[in-house]
Amino acid sequence: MATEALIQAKGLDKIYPVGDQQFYALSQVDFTLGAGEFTGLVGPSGSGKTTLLNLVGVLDQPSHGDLEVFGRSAARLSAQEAASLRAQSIGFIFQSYNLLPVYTVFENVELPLLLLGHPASQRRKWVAEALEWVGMSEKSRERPSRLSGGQAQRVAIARAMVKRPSLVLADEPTANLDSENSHLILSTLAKINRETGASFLFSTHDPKVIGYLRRQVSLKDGRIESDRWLGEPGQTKG
Amino acid sequence: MIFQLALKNLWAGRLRTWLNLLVLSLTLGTMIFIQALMEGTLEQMLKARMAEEVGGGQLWFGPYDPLDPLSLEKANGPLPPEVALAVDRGEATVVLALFGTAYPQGRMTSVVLKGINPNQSVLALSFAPLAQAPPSVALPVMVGERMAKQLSLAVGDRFTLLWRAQAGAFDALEVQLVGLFSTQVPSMDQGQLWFRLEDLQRMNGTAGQASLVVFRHHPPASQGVWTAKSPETLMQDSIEMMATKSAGNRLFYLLLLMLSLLAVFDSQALAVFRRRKEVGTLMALGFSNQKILALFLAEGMGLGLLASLLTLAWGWPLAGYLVREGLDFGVSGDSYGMALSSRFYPAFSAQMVLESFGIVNLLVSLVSFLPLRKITGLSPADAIRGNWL
Ligand SMILES: Nc1ncnc2c1ncn2[C@@H]1O[C@H](COP(=O)(O)OP(=O)(O)O)[C@@H](O)[C@H]1O
Ligand SMILES: [Mg+2]
Repeated sequence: MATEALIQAKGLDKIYPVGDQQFYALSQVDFTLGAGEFTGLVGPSGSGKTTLLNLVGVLDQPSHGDLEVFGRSAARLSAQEAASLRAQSIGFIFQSYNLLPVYTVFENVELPLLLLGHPASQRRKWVAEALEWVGMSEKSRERPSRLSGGQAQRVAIARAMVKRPSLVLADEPTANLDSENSHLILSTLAKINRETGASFLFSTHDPKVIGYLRRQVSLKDGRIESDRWLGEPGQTKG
Repeated sequence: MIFQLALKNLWAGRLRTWLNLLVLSLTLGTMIFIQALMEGTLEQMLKARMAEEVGGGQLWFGPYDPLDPLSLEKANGPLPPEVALAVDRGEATVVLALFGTAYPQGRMTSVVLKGINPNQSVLALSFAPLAQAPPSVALPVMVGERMAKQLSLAVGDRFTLLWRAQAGAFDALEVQLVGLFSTQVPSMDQGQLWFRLEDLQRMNGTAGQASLVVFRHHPPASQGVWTAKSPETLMQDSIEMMATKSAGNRLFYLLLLMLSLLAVFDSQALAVFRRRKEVGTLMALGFSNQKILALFLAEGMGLGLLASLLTLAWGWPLAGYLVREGLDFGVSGDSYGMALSSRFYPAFSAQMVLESFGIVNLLVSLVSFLPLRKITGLSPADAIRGNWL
């Protein structure tokens, strides 16, 4: 199914010093992610899901092992290069949305394009499109504080997608949402995945999310327990 | 882009931004005002001294030294011919200075006797009462108001004067106070008795001689025993005193600056703490650490710039008013031992304004930036998790 690998990891360790002990948040992780996937890292809290997402998103460096992101060795990226890789190719979605409170919905979504230096006309067009995808066009002038959780997460999705990244990392995107909003978010993401071909990597222990996944990578105590392909994603509600 | 975002952040900071702006603007205004007051005071002082004491410059007879009364005995001589001509033309006026002792109301006090042409117009002091004294007054004298107060003298009072004439013999005479003059320059007043030039020359037996010549404009170059003194040399003491005072004031406003910067630092540090999740988010969005630093630096610069504009907005009209109307501190300049009227007129200059703006902008940027130094070494993952304080 996955032909072209976006992420290739072999023998990843992530060690945190805890007191004078070494704590293995990840241990001997082998992991590959191809284009267009809709894959979840599934496991209980503390199993290392966020840690692995952070490595994949070049927000952090592994302690040992080889990690290639978009064909480039993560270890050899400077902080600057990592930042620009994120800016160009990776979208992030967080559990608590992380919208910037100061900016309007429009400005929040526009920010990644500003950073990439796109001209204003293109920014307007792409932001409008992204807000359309998530059904938030009406709210483009609102501040995040006036949005419900589900609306905020949809704006966050628009912000992640607006630059059309080939990889989207979503860290427990439904953990703060009720069931209805969770399904709305998930079906939106599934639709975007089909339409844009962007590869999605979730971290989750939410069964609702698991129902949408095409591939489930189970983590426990920093190790991959299983890695299996599932059937087609579940039907959206409503 | 960064500056645009920074301004947006400042705007969104609302209360915090306004408080910082207010503190900074008040500091800026105070800094500039203190400098302007010092500058204006100095200008006022120098102007008063030029008008009432030093003129456009002076020629001093060789041994003349106003700080050494004993020098006065020999400190007068005939004028060079061209200087005499200038005096005749009204471009200069001469002063003869002698040393003596006065006994007003039986008390004894050392005085400098000064002879001046009562009709002179080189100095902006009026000695007309000397000229107008009736012949019945044997030896008319004038003093400044400070001196009159100090010696408890009133117009019409008589007192005895003892002095040593050129010939070497002590002589005693009765003098009568015929008028007072008011001057901003204490050295024209305190310890000085002013006579008609001819009277003093006659008493001393040195007709046509003088100790110094005050010029309306520039004095001629030194010639022979006559030494030219520029206004700058003559007023060096005032200039130095003001320099010392401004140094003291600079210390004061540096302190003020430190305090307001502390406030800004505090609020920025707090903001960085509150905004650490935002910083993590920006990192995830692909902002490099440098860009985030630049953003906060730009916020600091924006703050400084806005504070400058705000200061201009309220400071400009206020400065205009103060320059026009002056400022009454309710103390006369004499309380500082300076030649001042009781109204102070600040003098503003573009240089002091720009300098203050420059200093404040630089420091505010620095101070906004300092709380963020940690970011440079921070892994984005830690920033997002909030593991960094
Ligand atoms: N900066 C850190 N320092 C020490 N331990 C950490 C740090 N970050 C994460 N951990 C630990 O690593 C383990 C895995 O964390 P995480 O990847 O966040 O788990 P998950 O996302 O699956 O809940 C946890 O036990 C967590 O406490
Ligand atoms: Mg997690």
